[in-house]
Amino acid sequence: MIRIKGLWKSFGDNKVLKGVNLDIETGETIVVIGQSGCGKSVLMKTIVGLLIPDDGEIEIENVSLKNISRKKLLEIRKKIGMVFQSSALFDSFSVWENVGLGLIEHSKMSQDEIMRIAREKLKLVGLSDVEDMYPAELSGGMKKRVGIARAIAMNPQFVLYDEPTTGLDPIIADRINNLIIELQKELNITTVAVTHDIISAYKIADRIAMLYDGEIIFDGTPKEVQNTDNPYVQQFIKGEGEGPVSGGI
Amino acid sequence: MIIRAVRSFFSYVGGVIIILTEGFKNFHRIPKSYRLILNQILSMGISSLPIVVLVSVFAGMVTCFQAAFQTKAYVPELYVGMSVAKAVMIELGPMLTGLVVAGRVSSSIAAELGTMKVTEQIDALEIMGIDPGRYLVMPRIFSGIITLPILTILAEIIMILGGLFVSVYGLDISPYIYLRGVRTNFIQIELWGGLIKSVVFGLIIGLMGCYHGFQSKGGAEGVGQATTRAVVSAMVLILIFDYFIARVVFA
Repeated sequence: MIRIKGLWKSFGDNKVLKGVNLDIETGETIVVIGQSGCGKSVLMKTIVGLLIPDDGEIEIENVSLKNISRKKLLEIRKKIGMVFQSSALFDSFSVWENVGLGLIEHSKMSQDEIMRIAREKLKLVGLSDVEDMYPAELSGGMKKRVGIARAIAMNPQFVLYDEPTTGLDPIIADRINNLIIELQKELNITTVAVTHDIISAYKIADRIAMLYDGEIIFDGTPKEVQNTDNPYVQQFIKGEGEGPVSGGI
Repeated sequence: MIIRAVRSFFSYVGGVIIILTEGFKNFHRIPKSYRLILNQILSMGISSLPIVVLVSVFAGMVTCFQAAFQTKAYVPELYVGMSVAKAVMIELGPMLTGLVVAGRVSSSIAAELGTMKVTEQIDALEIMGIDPGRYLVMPRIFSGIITLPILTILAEIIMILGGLFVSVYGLDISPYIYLRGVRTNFIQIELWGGLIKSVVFGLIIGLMGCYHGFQSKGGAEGVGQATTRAVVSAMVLILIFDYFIARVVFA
C-alpha cells in the first residue's frame, strides 16, 4: 500500500500541498480529482519521489521515501509504472524500444525476448503492428496506449496515471477508461489516477478523493461523492462556475 | 542586487558540480554502457567532422600565410613550417576545434536533453528506475572527453597540410623545407599540452550541454535559451581554461 502522511510542498511562496493525508490500499483504484493547477500532478510526482516534499512522508509498501538512498529509490520505482499526461515517450526510440526500455536496462533478456514481451504488452493495450513506428508517427490516443504499455512492461504493483484522458476525444477517452479497468482486473494492479475528468473518475474509481486548496477535502466511493452535501465537491462534479470554489482563473 | 548575483553564481557553480559528479560517479559503469557511449561518440564525431575539416584547412592556410608574411626577409624559410606546427599544436588545434565543436555539440546536447526535460521524458526514465546520470549525462561527458582529442589530432594534421598547400603554391617554399620546418625544434610537451587542453575542452562541452539541458524550463522557449546558454558558456569556459592550462603545462 501507499501511505501519504502530512505532505507539504511549496514552490517559492506558492504553497501547493498543505498537509495531504491519504492511504491507498493494495489492489484498489483511487482517483484524485481537483481543478487544473491544484497540485494533483505535484502530488503524484511527490509520491514517486520525483519531487521531494518540504514536510511529511510517503511510504510505499512500508518503505519510507524519507532520506532513502538513490539506489533504493530507483529499486522501488521498478515496482511502479507511471503514465504521463503528455505520454512522455522517448522520441528517439521506436515504440517497442519505448515499451521494452526498462527490460533492456534491468534484465538480461535477449532482444528477441524483450521484443516479444513488448509486443504482448502492446497487444494488451489494443495495439498491433506499431512496434517499429516512432512516437512522432502516432496519434494522441495511440501514444497514451503506448505510454500505458510502457508503464506495465515491468509488471508493476502500482500504476499511476496523470490525467489519463485529458486531450482525448470522448470515445477514445472511454476506451482508455475501459483499458485502465481491464488492466486493473487482469493484473491486479493498485491504481492511482489524477484527473479533472469527472466522468472518467466515476467510471474507473473504487474511491475518489478531492484535492482542494492543498488538502484532501473529501474521500469516498463514487456513490458517496454524488450524494455528499460538501458544497466544494458538489460544485466540482456539477461543473458550475459559481460557488464556493475559488481560484482557477 | 549584489547578493542576488552572488547567490545565482553559487547556484550555477553548485548545479554544474552536481552534473559533473553525476557524470563521474557513473564512470565505473562505462563497460556496461558502451553502446550508449559509442552512439554518442559517433554522433558527436560525425556531426562535427565536416565543419572541423573546413575550419582547419583555412586556419592552417592563413597561419602559414601570416607566418611567412610577417617574418618575410627576416627569418629563413625553414621557420615557416616550424611556426605553423607550433601554433597549431599549442593553440590553434585544440582551441579552434574546441570552439567549433562547442557550437555544434553543446547546443545539440542541450537541445536534446532540454526537450526531454520539458516533455517529461527524463521523469519517465527516473520512474523506470533508470538513472539519468548514468543514462544521459555520463555517456555525453565521457564521449566529449574521447571525441575531442581525436578531432583535435585530425584538425592539427589538416591544418599542417593546409599550411603545406599555401607554402608550396602561394609562397614558393618547397614541401621538403616546409615539412623539415614542421619537425624542427619539436618539443613533445607542446603536443601533449595541446591534447590535455582538448580533453578538458571535451569535458566542458559535454558538461555545459548536459547542465543547461537539465536546467531547461517551460517549453520551446526554455529549450532555445538553454541551447544558447550552453554554447556561450562552453565557449567562454574553453577560453578561460585555455589560459590556465597553458600556464600550468608550459610553466
